[in-house]
Amino acid sequence: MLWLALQFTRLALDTRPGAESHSEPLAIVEAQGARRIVVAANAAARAQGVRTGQVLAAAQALCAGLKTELRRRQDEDAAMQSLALWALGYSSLVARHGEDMLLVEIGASRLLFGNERRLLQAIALDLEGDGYACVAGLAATPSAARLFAAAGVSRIVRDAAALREQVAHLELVHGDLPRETCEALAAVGVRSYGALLKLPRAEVARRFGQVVPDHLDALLGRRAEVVVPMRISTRFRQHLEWPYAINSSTALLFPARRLVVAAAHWLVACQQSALRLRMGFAHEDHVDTVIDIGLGQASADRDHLLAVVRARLERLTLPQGSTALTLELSETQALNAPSRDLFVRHGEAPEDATQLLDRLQGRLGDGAIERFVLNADHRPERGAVAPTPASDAHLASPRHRSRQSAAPTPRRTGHVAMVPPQRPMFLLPQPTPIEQWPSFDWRRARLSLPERIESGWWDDADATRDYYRLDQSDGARLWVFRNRQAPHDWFVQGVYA
Amino acid sequence: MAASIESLLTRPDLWRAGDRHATTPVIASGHRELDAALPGGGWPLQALTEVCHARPGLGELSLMLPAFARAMDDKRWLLFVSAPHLPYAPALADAGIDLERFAHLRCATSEQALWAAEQALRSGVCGALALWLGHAETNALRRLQLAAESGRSLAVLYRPLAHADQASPAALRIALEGEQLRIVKCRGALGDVARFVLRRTPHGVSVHSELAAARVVPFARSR
Repeated sequence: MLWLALQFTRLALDTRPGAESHSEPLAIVEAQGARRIVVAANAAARAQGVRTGQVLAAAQALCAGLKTELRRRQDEDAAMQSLALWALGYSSLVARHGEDMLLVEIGASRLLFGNERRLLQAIALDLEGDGYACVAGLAATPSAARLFAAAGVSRIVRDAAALREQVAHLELVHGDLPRETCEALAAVGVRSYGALLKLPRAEVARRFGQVVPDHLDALLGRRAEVVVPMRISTRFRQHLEWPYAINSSTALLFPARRLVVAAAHWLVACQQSALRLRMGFAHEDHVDTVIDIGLGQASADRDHLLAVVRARLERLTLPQGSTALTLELSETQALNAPSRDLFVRHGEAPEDATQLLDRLQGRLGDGAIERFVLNADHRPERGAVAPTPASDAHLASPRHRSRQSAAPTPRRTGHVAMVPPQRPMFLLPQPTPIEQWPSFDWRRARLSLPERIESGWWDDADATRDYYRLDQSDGARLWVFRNRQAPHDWFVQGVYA
Repeated sequence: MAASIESLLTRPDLWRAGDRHATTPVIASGHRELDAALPGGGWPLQALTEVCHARPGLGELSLMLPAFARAMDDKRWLLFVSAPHLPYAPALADAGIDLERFAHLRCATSEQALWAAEQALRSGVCGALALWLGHAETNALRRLQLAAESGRSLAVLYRPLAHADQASPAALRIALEGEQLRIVKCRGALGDVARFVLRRTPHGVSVHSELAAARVVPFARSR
């Protein structure tokens, strides 16, 4: 077993998108008794001397324009939950420890990535991309990993003897011992693990309690330690707030990205795939803007979800700046593990048509993508209809699609196939009176023999028309008709492009 | 000196007028006499083909349909982007287009159309793509040409004839005027003829070289 402990050192700040790099100095404060203490400060505030642990009055004295915000523990908790979901992408054994620490067992995942270094690089890259500051510790026991992370030492230590050497110079206060025990030990001059390990075990236990040798055993791997793995909620819904109203869609991408990434981790961890997402943007003086994004095909792929959301955000106009975002996976289904080509590495696989159409639809808007199936009707404007979801190969699952193609397709069953083939490539859904057709002149036109189409007497759209192919002297060919009832009114209905 | 010319000749963006071999793979146009004239023997893949037509209805789409149908082999898609009218599915099906892998993208602006076409070409999903554009910046066309190079697709751009005289980065440009088809530009040497005549057939159009066409009665008897 190899444990990775991740301590998030700036969680109070990192949960607020854009706060760390914002140009105004900002401090997150928390009331402790009667005083207010700075728990985190952004880069601009740190540059002016604001430090974690300062009293607010002192911080304000150092930095005149300091903006303060109250710590929101529920946000931090949500962020930790999201990070835990993310960590489940790297290991099946993830546990939360305390308020700001994650324990991840990566020993089993090493092989997948080749070696620890590559695995750690991937983890570091993810955290950097998501904007979380973090200290990592890596050791053979959970206690030691936590100790390294808390002390800010990043080392890979495997065997017990080396571990004993490595912890020797670390201070006791970083470890898991109760504070009063640490103080008692400090009172007799024992401040580091090295000093503690030199003392006789039985005597230490008698004087400072059994907790001390137990802790040392857990630290050095002589005693198994209980780690409670994290549980996952059965529905994904996450909320993210930020201090400044954001209106531009590019700026909204940052919080949206964070939520989508968490959703993708949740999907992978729960073996689910998303069918529909709902994004709610909260405004200060306006009803929430809620957008619903349906996916053509269920997906758990983070890049695909991101691309769809990005395309949707690009054409989103908010009534006013937004201060919070909620992402909910409103419809999911069990994940069909994608069967990828054995020799195609992840990321190199060509994009699926469904993914492309989803992405295009996200940007161009609903209804921008027109698809057709043939319809057995002689009236030209009803010769093709939009596919219904059941018959739509694009929306149907692959299994459904193959079953469908085994059945006779509609175009073979209808009598459309017997209609003479000379049909125009383009159709005008609303026939245009021929006088309105650009540069049309009867004197330079030639008509073919007519074709009568008489149909639809059983519904409202009765048609009794004589159709002609009309050649103009400039080479253009149109499909025109006149109604039997009004033989002098000619209409253009098609273009032989 | 000779060495520098040698190195020039290996550049991919430099093509010689005497070269009958296409620099890119081609797809047969389905019109024998046209194939004989085009470098490589067909419409270029991985490159932009521009069709400038005087007005809609000259057979500009029928001209391409045999190649479109062939480009959809191997489970690939055909996309129309911002066509001037509704594509008529029965006619497309008649020409051999599988409607399950056909879609028309309506775009509100030409920027959107260019973006969608570029995305579609880069994705590698499309066997063929047809895009209708009015005026377009040379930069936009160049982006389109680059996108076409990245995927193995037949990319056809339809524009009004007025733009035929403007410079364009498209690899092949043809102009349709009346029944006349003229190859304006191509990469590599043209066959003996550069001018053709389009004739309507019950299933679309056929293309004949102008010399042969002169012996045919100008108007085929309509049915």
